[in-house]
Amino acid sequence: METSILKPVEIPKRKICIIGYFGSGKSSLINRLVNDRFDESYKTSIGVTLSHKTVFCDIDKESRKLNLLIWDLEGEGQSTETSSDYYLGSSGAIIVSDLMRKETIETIPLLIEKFLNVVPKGNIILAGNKIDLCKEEQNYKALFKEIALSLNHTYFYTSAKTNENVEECFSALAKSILSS
Amino acid sequence: MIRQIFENIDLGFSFITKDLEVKNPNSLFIKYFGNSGLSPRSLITDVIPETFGLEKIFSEVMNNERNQFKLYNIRRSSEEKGEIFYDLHILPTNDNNNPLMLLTQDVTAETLRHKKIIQKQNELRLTESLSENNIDEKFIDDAIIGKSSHIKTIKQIIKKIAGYDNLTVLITGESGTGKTLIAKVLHYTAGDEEKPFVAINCASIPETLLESELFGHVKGAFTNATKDKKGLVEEADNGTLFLDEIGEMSPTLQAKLLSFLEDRQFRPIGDTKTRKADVRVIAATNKNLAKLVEEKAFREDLYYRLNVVRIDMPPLREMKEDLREIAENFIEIFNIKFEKSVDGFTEDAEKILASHSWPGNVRELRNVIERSMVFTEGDKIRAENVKLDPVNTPLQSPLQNLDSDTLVKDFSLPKGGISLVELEKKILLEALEATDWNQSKAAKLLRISREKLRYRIEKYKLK
Repeated sequence: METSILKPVEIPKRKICIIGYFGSGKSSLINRLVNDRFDESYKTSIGVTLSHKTVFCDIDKESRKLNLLIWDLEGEGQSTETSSDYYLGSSGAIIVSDLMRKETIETIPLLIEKFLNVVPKGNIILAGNKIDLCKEEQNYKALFKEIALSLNHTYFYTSAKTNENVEECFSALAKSILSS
Repeated sequence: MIRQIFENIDLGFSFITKDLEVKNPNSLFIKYFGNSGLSPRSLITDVIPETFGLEKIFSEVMNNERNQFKLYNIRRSSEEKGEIFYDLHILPTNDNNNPLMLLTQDVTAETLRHKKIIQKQNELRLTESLSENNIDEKFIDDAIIGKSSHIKTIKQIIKKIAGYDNLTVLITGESGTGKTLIAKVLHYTAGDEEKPFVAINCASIPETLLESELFGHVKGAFTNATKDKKGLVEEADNGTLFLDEIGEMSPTLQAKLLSFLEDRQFRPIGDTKTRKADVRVIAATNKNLAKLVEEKAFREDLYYRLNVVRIDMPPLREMKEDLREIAENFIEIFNIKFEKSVDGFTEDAEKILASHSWPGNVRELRNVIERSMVFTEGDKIRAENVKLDPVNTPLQSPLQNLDSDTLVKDFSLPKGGISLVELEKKILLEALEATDWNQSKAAKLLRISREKLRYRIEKYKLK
């Protein structure tokens, strides 16, 4: 009788960083992705909090998995600058902006530069968060899109509150990492 | 031996082998990371997942390409232990078998203190930013502190009228109850960062100038009118005009304001043409306007025109249940200003605050907290730090009650001398606060002209 021993396929593991201005919803996006929860109240993050999530993506019509070690970093724009040492060893980053706050979008190029200085070949996805709050003439959606297109980075309008494009955003980064 | 030393100074410690295995961890290290499943050949990247991806850094430290490596404020959270923060430090050793040592230091207490300050700072900045963009109910709840029935009623009114950005509102209440704050909240709930909020204190400007301030003038309209001047009504076009102390407005100007409120049209002094301004008017007073109407000191038709929606601000003595929350909010604000981490009051200090009558209302409370914070060294405001105003009622300041001749006669220079500038500033501030910043009244109290008072206000940048 023939027996076959199936070795379990090991899911590759990669570190990614979630970067952005304070209050842009970084922790909320992660909380939605990992725990499928959303909390309305704002809670500031200090330092780094690590989460794990396995995400799926299609590459050449084949479904692939990636185990993400997600580094939720303290917000930029606070009294002390966030250390770029946190980026060391990561494969990519999601740069999160609040579509209701101009300064969180205008600083995208600087944050990209800061990340690429440490991780030159890092993969980057841009998330314009809080799309659920956007009403006509009261948001910076157009500015976000303009910056994303000019920098030639994939972007998503996301909402941790309504779960819009959250998984898609992380899957896109996973795909980008696995394809590179 | 080295393990014991580190334990005595609250440091988690472990050697790391060339293969990045954890070796000889001390008990604190096991306490921190034992849950991750420590075994004799555990990899550091499994035990502390935050080190995953740092293999190159480990190698650089091993090979002396880096002196050391440090990661700050790594956060762990669990239901049992709550939030824990630690710093992680990787250092080289002289031991070839165990070329690295890893130190972890619990920094939870200081990080949580820092976090509390950052949380407040960010909340303030977010509120500020939101107020420019998009106002929702949360903004109203955050801006107006308190849970008493008075405050609940005020919040309900504001939420109900938030969508009506042309509604005239009358805010009444004693000095220092927060009428200006409510006017700003009303303005921002109408929600557009471009819209102007223009405020004027009708009592602080002489009657002869107030008309020109409000409606503007054209060149040559009067002796000193050397050029056209836009009035505040026009400045506030598409936004809000906040008329504080409306009860002090002269009957002539009351008539002009009424005319403007009827059709939003006005004519600058000396101009022949009328202009239009789409302005929301919010008026405030600490007077009983209905009584002034009875006394014929205020126009009845203007009173009803202003009193479309009325918000009565309660005195602080009637909101004792909110006192603590409001005071704690000021503590947070002054923690940021003074870079302190004061966390509330001792019981005795709280008793002093609770038993005071707060004639100067929230403004007085703010001043008291600010002064108390200056003297507070520890983490709580203590009874001896609480410096109450020596004023009993808002309109009975010591300056009004003092026999000034006696005061001047009895005054003697302290042995160590005194700062004349600081003394003058203090007297000016007390006079201004006692008169609710009515410059004419303050000048009278100080027996100087308004011009001299204004000069000193500018000189010392008082506000």
